[in-house]
Amino acid sequence: MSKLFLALILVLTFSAQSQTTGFYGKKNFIDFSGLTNFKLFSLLFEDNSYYKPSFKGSNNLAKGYDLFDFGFRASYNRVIKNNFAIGLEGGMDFQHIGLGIVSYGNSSTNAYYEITHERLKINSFVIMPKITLNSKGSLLPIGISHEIGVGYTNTKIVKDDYVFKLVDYGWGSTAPNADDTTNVRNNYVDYDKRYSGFTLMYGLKFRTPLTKTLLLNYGFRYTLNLRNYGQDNIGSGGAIISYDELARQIGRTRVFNFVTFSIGLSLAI
Amino acid sequence: MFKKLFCALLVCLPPVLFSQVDFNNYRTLQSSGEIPTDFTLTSKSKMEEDLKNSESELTGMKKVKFYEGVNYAIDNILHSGDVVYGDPISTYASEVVDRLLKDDPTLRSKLRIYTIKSNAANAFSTDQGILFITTGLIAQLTSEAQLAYILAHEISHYTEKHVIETYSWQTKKSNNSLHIEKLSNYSKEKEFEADKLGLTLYNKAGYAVDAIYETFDVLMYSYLPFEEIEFPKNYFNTANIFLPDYLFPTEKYEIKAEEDYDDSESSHPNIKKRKEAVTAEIGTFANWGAANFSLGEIRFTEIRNIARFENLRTDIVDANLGDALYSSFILERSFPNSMYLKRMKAQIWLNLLNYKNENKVNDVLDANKELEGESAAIHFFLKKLTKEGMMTIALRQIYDLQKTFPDNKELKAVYDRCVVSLARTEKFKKEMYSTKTFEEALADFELHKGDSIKPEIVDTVAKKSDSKYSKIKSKKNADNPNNFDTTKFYLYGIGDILKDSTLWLAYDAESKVYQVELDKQKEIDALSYRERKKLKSKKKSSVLNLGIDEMIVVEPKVFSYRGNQGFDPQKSEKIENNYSEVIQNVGDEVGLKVHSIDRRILEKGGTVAFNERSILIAFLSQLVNDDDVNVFPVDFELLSEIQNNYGTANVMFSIVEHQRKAEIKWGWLGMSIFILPAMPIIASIHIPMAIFKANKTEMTVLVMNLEKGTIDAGGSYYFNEPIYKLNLGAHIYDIFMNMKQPSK
Repeated sequence: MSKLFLALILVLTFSAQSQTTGFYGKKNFIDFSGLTNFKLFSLLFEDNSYYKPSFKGSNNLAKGYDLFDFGFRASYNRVIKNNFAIGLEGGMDFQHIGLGIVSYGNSSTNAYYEITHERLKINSFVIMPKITLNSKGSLLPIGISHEIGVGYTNTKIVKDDYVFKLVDYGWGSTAPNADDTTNVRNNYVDYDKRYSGFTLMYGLKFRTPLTKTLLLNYGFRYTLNLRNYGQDNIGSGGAIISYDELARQIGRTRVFNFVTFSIGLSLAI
Repeated sequence: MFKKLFCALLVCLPPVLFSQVDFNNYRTLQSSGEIPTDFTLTSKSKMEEDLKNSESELTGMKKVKFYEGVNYAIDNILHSGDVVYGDPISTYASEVVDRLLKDDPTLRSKLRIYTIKSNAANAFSTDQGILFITTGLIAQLTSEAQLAYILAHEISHYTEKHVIETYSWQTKKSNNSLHIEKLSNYSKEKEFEADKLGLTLYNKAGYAVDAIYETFDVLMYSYLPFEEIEFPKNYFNTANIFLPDYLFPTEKYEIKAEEDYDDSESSHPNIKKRKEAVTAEIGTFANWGAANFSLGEIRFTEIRNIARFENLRTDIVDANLGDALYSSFILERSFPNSMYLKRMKAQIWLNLLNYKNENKVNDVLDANKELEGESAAIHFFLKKLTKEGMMTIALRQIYDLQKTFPDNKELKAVYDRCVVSLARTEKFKKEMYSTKTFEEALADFELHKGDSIKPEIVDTVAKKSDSKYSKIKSKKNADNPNNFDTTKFYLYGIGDILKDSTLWLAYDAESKVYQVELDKQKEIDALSYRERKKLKSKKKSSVLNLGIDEMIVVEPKVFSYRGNQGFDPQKSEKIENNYSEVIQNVGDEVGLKVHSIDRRILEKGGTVAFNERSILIAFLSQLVNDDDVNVFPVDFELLSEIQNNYGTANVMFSIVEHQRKAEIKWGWLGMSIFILPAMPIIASIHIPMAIFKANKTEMTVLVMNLEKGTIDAGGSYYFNEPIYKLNLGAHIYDIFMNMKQPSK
């Protein structure tokens, strides 16, 4: 009997295609996914230049790794063929940048400081059209999907009550000037500035059905961001840290976030 | 008086009862009575039962592996579609076992006897108490006593637990080069032991001693057909067709079997050694009985005839068409009026015609080096036939049978298919045939020998003109006596059929359809590569569009493999159950009525479902032999009944193969270490990809049409997914929705 059926497989060696019917007749699906960094690069290359409060609420800073950035994505996808879909994805990334120790001099008071500042939170909004490809014979949205997207990102630095330390290296000074402390607090970076760019994404996603409507999705995303080096990155807008330096650090963070792990739920509708 | 009459009737009753088989309207062997639990329990439950009751010295995983493997293997046989229970052969063999074990009712109660429709002459017992005998074995026997000795031998294998002992022995031995030889020797010891112990049972039952030696002879020559009768050269000759002698061999083919063959790598000792060992043992018994037929010779002959009819059918199923033709020739000597034999003969010729047309006729005939005995003449003859010769004889045979029995639906169906096959064969041209018989043509030839072309026999066109073309035409005319050639005997074989306008109307109609198809293909060939690819893709995507809303689903099958460790029977069985359930549920969901005929419903469906399933599997076997060749369903009548019972001609078979194995290329990763940034990039893409792709699944579906006897649709789907119910269901949903769509 087994031999007979195995012979049957040999007879039917051609791979068949079928007309698109969707997953149990459903030809649209919405993905909701949470993202977290896969810190492969950070751990290999990143120096320990991130400063964080020693513990929550502490005014002391300690060096540390940026171990956990996260984000989320939501996308709507339309199945065109059983193994091909188009979609639109939007989402947010919540990441950090660290600037290390920055020198700061105040010409009016002749003060010269080194600023040790808590890492800065950055939020990026992402929107991208994408295509989803499955291998022949598979049936979207289930199974392995290859996602390819080209999108737009817009990043801003989150204004917050960051912890920072000023060490005065000026002659005779023993403590930071109150004006300088205020200046650093308010003008360390320009919080209104937006950093935009293009993003290229390849995603490897696996969806396993939990019910005929609900699916578990998980996978890895590989993102490459293209920095905008245009005119608007010149200067600092009166802040201590220049736009260019911030853009560079944002880009660096994103490089370290090249691989992200995603997990979430999908709805077939 | 009445009492005496009643007693006399009772005495006569057994032979009357056992002479009920109507060989003229024979039907293939089918199971009857209540379905035994051997066929309804799952392999897993049997394995658990065996593990509970086993007294074997095997322990731990070895024991589990043994019972898992053995139960799955036995179930594979039981559900092969070839096994029957409660049939006349199994019943007969059971009665022989009753006689052998009349003094041991406890042992008798543990044994079950089933028949396998197979032309291999074989019998074997299992550790679970099942005795299998093949129709091929019964067909070869000449007495009940021979069967009794074979069964006594197999019972001894069972009582001595030879199967598990051999397994246990094997697992203890290291895997060295001498292992096969040692295993062969060990196995031979067990055979000698079974021969010896079987002798005791056989002797006690009072069977004749001579039959023991005959049994060994039967085994030795069992590779030959069940009779050695010369095939007459004039067998096919009738008033309408003549086949010249040169088509048949001039010399006999020697039978090469010898008693003292090399058995060094065989599991069984050679016949000479077995005979010698048995002879030594025979002398230890003081008394021997004389029974050759304790159940009656008439009954034995009937049982053997059933087996021989089954042999013919099995040869057709397995596409051993030369052997099938020889079997039909032998059987029709005893059953000249058997309609079954006539139907089978017509089927054989149709199948031969189709194999020949596909240039594959050698696949269904014995190779030259294998030719032995009287049956070799048939193989020689069929090999010698040209395509034109085969077409002509097939048409002649089928035509004659159909015209003799015009009301027989099966012969009509074979005849219709024959006309279709001929219409689709470019070598078949009705214009090439002569209106004369071979004898008439020969007489004309003799009459006109040495003459130039006689004006009165050249056709009218030729008469009007002596052009080059008219001369060529004249030379091609088979009615021209100067063109007579015995190697073209076939040209004089259908003169009468040429006058049958009904046949040629059907032929012309099919030729037109075929021509349209050829023209379409030419148009496709003329398209650009891109256009052809597009068309192919379009065609592929509609391959399952059948426009059906009802079908029979037979035995969805699952083969699940555990990484490198091979087949996982338990998991496969579990998923098979899920798959079967999914098919039924999805069918309900999409409005495609599914009639399930599989082993899971046998408890409920009983013997009827079991028989239907076997018939459908046999047809599948025929189709699988060669998907290029359009074969006629051997059980045409029974398939028609199944179609009528279920109200649909569509039958789906499906198989799922699954393996979970992540193929991580450690070599690549190792190499990438030397280029530092490459390693994490390659690792971060390759490893997840390999893990996600670890599940490799192939789902194959095939839809047969019982009415047309063809595969209507089929294909394989590959996907990297686990085989959970919802995954399987999603793919089946897609397939069923496509099947519901009408073909464009």
